[in-house]
Amino acid sequence: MADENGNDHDPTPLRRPGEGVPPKPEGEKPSIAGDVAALAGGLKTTLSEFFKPVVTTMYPEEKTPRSERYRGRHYLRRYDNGLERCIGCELCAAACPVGCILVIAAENTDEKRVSPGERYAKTYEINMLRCIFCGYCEEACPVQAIVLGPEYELSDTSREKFIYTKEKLLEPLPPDVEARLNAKGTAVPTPAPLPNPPPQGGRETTP
Amino acid sequence: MSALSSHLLEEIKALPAKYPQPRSAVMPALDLAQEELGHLTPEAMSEVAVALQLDPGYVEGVATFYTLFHLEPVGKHRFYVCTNLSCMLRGAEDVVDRLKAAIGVREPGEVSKDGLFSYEEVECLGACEYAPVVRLDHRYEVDLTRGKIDSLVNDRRLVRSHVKTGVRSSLDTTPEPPRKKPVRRTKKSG
Amino acid sequence: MPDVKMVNVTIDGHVVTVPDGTLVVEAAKLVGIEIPVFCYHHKLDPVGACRMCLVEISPGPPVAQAGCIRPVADGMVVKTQSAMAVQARADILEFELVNHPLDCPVCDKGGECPLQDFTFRHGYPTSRIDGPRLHFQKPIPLSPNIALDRERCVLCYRCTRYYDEVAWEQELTVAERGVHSVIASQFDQPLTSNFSGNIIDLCPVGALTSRLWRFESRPWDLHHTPSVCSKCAVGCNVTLWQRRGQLVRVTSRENDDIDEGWICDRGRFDYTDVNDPARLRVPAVHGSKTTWAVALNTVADGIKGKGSKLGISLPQDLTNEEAFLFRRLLDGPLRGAKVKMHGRTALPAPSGEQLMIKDIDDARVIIIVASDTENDVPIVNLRVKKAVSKRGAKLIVIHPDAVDLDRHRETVHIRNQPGEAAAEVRKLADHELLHEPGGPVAILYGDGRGSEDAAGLVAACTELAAKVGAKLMPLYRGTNERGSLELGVAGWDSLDGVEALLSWGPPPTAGVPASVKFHAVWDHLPRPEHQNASVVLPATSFAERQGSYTNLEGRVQFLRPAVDAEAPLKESWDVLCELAAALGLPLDYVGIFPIQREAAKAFPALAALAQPPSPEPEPVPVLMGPARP
Repeated sequence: MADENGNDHDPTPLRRPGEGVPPKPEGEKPSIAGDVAALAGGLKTTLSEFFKPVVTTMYPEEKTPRSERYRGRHYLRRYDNGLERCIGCELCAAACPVGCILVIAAENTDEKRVSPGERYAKTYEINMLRCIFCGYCEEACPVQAIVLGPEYELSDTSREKFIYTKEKLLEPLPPDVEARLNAKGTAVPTPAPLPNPPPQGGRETTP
Repeated sequence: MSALSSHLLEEIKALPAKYPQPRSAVMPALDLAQEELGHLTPEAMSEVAVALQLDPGYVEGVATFYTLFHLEPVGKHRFYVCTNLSCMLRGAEDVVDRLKAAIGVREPGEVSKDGLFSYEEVECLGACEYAPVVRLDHRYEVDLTRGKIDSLVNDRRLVRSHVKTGVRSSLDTTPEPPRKKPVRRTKKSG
Repeated sequence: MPDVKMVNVTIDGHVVTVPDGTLVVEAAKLVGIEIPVFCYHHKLDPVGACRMCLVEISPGPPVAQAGCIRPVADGMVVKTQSAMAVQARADILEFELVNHPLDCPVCDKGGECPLQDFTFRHGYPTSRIDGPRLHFQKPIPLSPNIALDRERCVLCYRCTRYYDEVAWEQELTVAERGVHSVIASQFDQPLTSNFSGNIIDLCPVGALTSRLWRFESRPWDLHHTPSVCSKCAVGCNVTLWQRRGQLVRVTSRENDDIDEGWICDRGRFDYTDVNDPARLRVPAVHGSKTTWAVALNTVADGIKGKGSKLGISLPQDLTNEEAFLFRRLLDGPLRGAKVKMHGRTALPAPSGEQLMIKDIDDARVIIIVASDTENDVPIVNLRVKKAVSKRGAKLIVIHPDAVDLDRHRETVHIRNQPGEAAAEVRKLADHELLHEPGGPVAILYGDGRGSEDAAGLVAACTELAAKVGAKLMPLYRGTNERGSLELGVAGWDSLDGVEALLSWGPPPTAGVPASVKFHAVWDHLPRPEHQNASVVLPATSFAERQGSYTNLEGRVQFLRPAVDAEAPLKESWDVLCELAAALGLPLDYVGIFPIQREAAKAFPALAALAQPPSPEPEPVPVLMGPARP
């Protein structure tokens, strides 16, 4: 009955439950055996399903596996030494088709080093209500800082809570770095060696 | 206290008259300043700039451009060792090694402990027929041998500052004719 | 110029007729063909350093030639897209990128970078460079406002040539040579020039960037508004860049009649007060916040009917519209009030034949009297330097102290005793340079920062101008001093002894007089003088203000707001209209346009106000510049 667009155009009117049950054929006698047989016939499918393996998962206690490429909630990654990967370049915000990312950059100093290099993201916010989980931000990132993870249960109770801030998005520190920081009681991770460490001072060159 | 002596500054001020463009005088002026101080300090460059009515930045640009202007302290006696083709074929590398050992330095530009010597490797000095060649105190020392290098170093070590060298422009690299009256313009003050 | 020979050139099949001597790159711009350039800049002398502009030119040797130093010739055929030219440019770009760090994601130039654009349009798609690159310390602070990144530098020498040719300074030079060449400031000392910021606009890569704007934003996130600088009377055209309600950057906007694309450091870097978190935003009466209605009624009560006991302090950057409303108030309810405009010169309204800034280019003799042009009218100073060094004009300076124009060897500097400038001007009539000037003579005069007798000096200059046939330019200091003079509100009265004071803008520079009992302030930043003010009204800053300025040559230019004046901030004309209503003078203008139309009718000098600002074209990218034969 479907047309070329796949729409069903069945002209039969819909029926309410119990409406239009066909009348019993004339002259058929009621019998108990016939009723039991009909009952057994009806339960046959049910009983046979009873012994098949269960496919239902007990969500939310139990969750189905996600594909490795599933695009769920975002994370901001860190390097192994605890420094943030994000350099605040705003290319994710530029690539975002819905404009849900806000990045405000700032400059690293030797006293307060957040990421390798000169620049880091002072503010990093994603409006999860607006996000369409297309993954373009991940694609645009030159340092693989922003990634879309497997987590998809993002419901919450107010709109404000859907503005995910940098604290919420950042991966936790690696355990060894955190242990070291706790031991020292300092809040600053050890500066990472830069990919190409520049020599300090003056016009010296390394040919 | 100015870095350059007053009569030297007078001499520098007289230089621009020789050139169609007054700022052409910056090279001979820097040469004179280097002759006096051994190397060019920012103060000396500033004073040259003031004397020639130029901006210090321009003078600094010229001074950094030319390798024969020294911005860091150098030895009192500087060996310019030719390592170009002819000299290299005639053993310039040996000359460099011997020289390094004789004056006790590891790399070009390093000053020996007594402050007397430093060396630099330069391109062709234009005396290939006498290879290997080194320029030392505005003279060419030619047909070098290990012994000759040692004696060049030892002579200067012995006489120390009493060595008599005529002061000429460092741009004038022709072998120097013997001078009748050796002139030492000034001593490094302080 | 009728005697210039015109020649026909064929560029990629387009025939273009240009004056003889035009460079190939400029001729190509006329037919909309891009020849990429790094070292070439239309305001600097060609140098041919970067070889980015290689094209095939016939007749000529069968090699790619630099289009930026080659003048056109009749019958020349230029091919920018021949296989040889395309490959030559791609090869040059590959060389430019040998040591480039490719840190575009963190580079402030990224997004508006010619090196990026040209690499996309003319370069090879992939890099073959796998060797180590040169490394330098980054960034190197060249001054409190400018950062240098030597790794990104392509050594086009635009910055050092600008310093040398345009600003007449040498504090930025090339040090070392060959592969070791780097841009360096003199003895690594901070740059001190008042014109240093222009090298940021000039730099075709991210080597020279603003430290104030550092990492503030990517260029594509910014909204830009063409406006006019409010720092001095020259009226340079600027572009104001806004992000998230903050003014984050000011750049030049080329207008050949005024600024030629240069602005001074004051105009470029002096904008952070707009974003000050301490900005005043709510009206306050005796220190407690209130509504505009209450505050304005309090002001009206305090200043009404005071006559000459009322003082009005005006800022130098009063717009024409505000000045017109003050004129209405002074003719009405505030008649007799003493008015003092701060930061202005003592010069009277202009007389004699007006010299336009553009005319300085063609002057043969330029006379500058009693003005420190470098600091008072910086861009006029650059115009004079251009006329002298590029067009061979002679320069006479009458000033008691050394000025930066002395850097030219042929500058005639007459050092007068302070107050004696007029006498020196009278002596000039017999000066040898003025016997046969060989062209127009320009006389620019200031007031010696108050040390000269302005009236006597103007008389002497007018007299000299009549003798030698010169045009005159009064060098006003106040941004809209000329417009205010024409509207008659640029007062010069002493405020001593007034009982009520209305400070429109910052409080009087000499301090609030002790006799003041009622002090009303309209200002955008909190200041100590506001402690005892009766009423403090929040003001709009130059980035939020609508209106117009008349520059020192009489040109009326429109300010456009780059940042929204968010409530409760009110436009200045709106505040003045409401204040007038509270004073019993109904000025029911519904917007700024009726004010401008009425001012244009009443004052011939403001006739330009009748034409509301036309929507201007997008600012031209600074680096390409408009086509120019």
